[in-house]
Amino acid sequence: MIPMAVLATAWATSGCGKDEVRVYQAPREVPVTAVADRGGSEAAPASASGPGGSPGAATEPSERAPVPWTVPAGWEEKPASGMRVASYAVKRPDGRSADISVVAMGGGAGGELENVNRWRDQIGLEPVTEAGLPGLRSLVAAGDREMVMYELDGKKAVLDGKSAARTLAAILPAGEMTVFFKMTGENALVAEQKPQFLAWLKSVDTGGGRESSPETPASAAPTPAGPASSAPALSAGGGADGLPAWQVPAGWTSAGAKPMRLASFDIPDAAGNGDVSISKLNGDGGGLLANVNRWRGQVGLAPLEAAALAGNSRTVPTAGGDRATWVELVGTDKTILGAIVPRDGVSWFFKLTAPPAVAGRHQESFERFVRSLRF
Amino acid sequence: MLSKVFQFLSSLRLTVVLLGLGVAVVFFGTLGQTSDGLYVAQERYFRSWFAYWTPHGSAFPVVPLPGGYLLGTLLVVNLIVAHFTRFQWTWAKSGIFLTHIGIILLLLGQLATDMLARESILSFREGETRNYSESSMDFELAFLHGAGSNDLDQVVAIPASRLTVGAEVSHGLLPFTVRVKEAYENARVRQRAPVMDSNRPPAAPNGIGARIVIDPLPPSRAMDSRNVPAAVVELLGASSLGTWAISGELKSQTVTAEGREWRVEYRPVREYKPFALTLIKTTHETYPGTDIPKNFQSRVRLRHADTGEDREVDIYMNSPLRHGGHTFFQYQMGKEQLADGGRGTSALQVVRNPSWVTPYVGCVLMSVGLLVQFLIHLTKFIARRKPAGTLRPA
Repeated sequence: MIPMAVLATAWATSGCGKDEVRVYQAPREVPVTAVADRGGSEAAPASASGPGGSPGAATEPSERAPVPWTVPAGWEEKPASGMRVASYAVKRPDGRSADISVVAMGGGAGGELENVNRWRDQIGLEPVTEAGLPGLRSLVAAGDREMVMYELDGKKAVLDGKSAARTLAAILPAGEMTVFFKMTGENALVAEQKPQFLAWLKSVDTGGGRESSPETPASAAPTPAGPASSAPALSAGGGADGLPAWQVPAGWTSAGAKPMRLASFDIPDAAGNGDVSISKLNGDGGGLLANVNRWRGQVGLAPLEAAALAGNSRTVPTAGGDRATWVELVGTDKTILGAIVPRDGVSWFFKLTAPPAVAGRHQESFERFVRSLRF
Repeated sequence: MLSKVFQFLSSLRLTVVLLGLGVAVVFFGTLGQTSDGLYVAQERYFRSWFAYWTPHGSAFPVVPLPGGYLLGTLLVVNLIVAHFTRFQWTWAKSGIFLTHIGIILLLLGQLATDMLARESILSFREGETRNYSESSMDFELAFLHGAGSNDLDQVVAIPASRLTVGAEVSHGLLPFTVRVKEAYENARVRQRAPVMDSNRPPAAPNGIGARIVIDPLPPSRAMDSRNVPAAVVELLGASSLGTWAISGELKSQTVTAEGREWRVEYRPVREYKPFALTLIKTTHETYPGTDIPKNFQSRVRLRHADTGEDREVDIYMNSPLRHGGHTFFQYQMGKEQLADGGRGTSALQVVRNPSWVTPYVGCVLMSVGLLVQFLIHLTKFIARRKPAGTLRPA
């Protein structure tokens, strides 16, 4: 029975003192220490896998220059450069790799279509038209926001002429900025990394982003009174987000900020809803003619020559004293009513898209909306 | 009655049943590892007296099992009692006795290892000297201040297990009481973003807490990650000394109490050694064209002030350093990517196991026992064969 006694003693004594406060003297440390590491990677002791981690180098108590997302396991941090806010890589021993980037740009950053087509071009895919976008889109929740995500499956062997590439890209409008999250690399590897990419997007802390997102008109719309409401619903114009003030016509409901948009409204109508978008681009946004022609293309109209623009548009004055270029583009199945306001080096775009009959019914209220603008 | 108990305890049937249950525990323990992770599965199935296996996603325990301790204890008892009751002490069976003593030593040695061995990690960069290793699981909240001499710190360390919400911890050497306001088993801290976090208050009003937020994470059970705890604590002296955010990801903060500056660190539990290791050089070789490691090697300088020992040692796979009751295995290696132009880093696994020699002795005894028993049988066989040996081939 001696072994039993030994066992019992060993059992009884193990675990003792674990919860006790320990007091000891220790040699004072040289100030540099690696901070806690989460990853089990080879580089773990240096905690180099942490976001922005520069262990021991900085003097601030917080060494990690934390980022508002959780970096998936296996992603290796790279120094952010150029336009990149953050940069990661996934590498495989067989040489396959994928590059992950976060880029933040002002305004709509060239528009959703242009960006998608640029990404398609990078991996050898043909460009798509605006009409083709919805079929490629999926929505991903990030905090209390939604991002639009594209998964582009390249078939051509564009990587050293050997293997095809794949791109996952998500767009998050954040106030006056648009943030792009993108992973591109060897096709199978990116497909395999998709769950990590999605988890990463979900981990993005959008926190109080709503506050700066220009959907404040939501609380004001629809206005209780009839047309040309006597209680004008003023948006957050002139506030931190820099949106103009406007009067929202009765019956419009705010649809919040969407990718590439600073604000959106829905116009409910039995014959098909109308969609109002507000966006802005730096400079002339590619030129008045180019934008009008882009819209013409969207409703199936042939592009205009520069000389014909003046005859196909008119000028609408706004309450703030600006002049909007107004176009009415009637296609076979949809109509675009658009107003473009150049101001302080920025071009503002106000656009109503709806079936022709619906657009006709709401043309007057849309024009009143444009006229109410006060920057 | 007593003889019946002894009969039961010494029976071969019990041995077979115990071995069968052992197989079952290993099987379910392996299944359990998929959801619990290695460490928790070990605790639950093997370092326990009783265990139960729960299918993934089920809320109720389904398969009750004896734990590893119970099985091991019963096997030892079974073997010993069998020797006193069933076996006869004869020279002819001395080999079997030796083998059984070897098995008993293996079982007891494993138990001793389980209860007495301590594992920790020592990580450093080239040129750095360490005289402590750190726990890879447990954290402690350490309060430090200079202790008279210039190069010594007085440390009061509160284990993380005491930091539960609402708890108040005090100690005679601390001029304040620690009141825990928030506690997270696993969390990450990050800089508070002025716009994105505008609807979240800072983690705490004092120190770095004013500039960060704490994001709780689900506790991790994976092998290749660890939990980094965080907490928000208020320090109460004669009056409040402020509320502070602490996390394993943060470095030290300073709080002044009764005219003395204390450094506050939430850090892995440290085990100090009477000697120091300096990392001189790391060698990291991979198979050509791959990232697959071929050789990790750390050249360290060992200095032991008490014994005057001062030597350089190479630590690499299967060639650990044994010193002062500790064994240092090469564990991880890397290069710092950002600071100092890429100094090599190395992590050594430090194992202190007072019973490390028992499995060796056990295995030697078993081998000798089997050899002896074989030789006894062989000599008997040869002796019996001799009369037949008179036959001659035709």
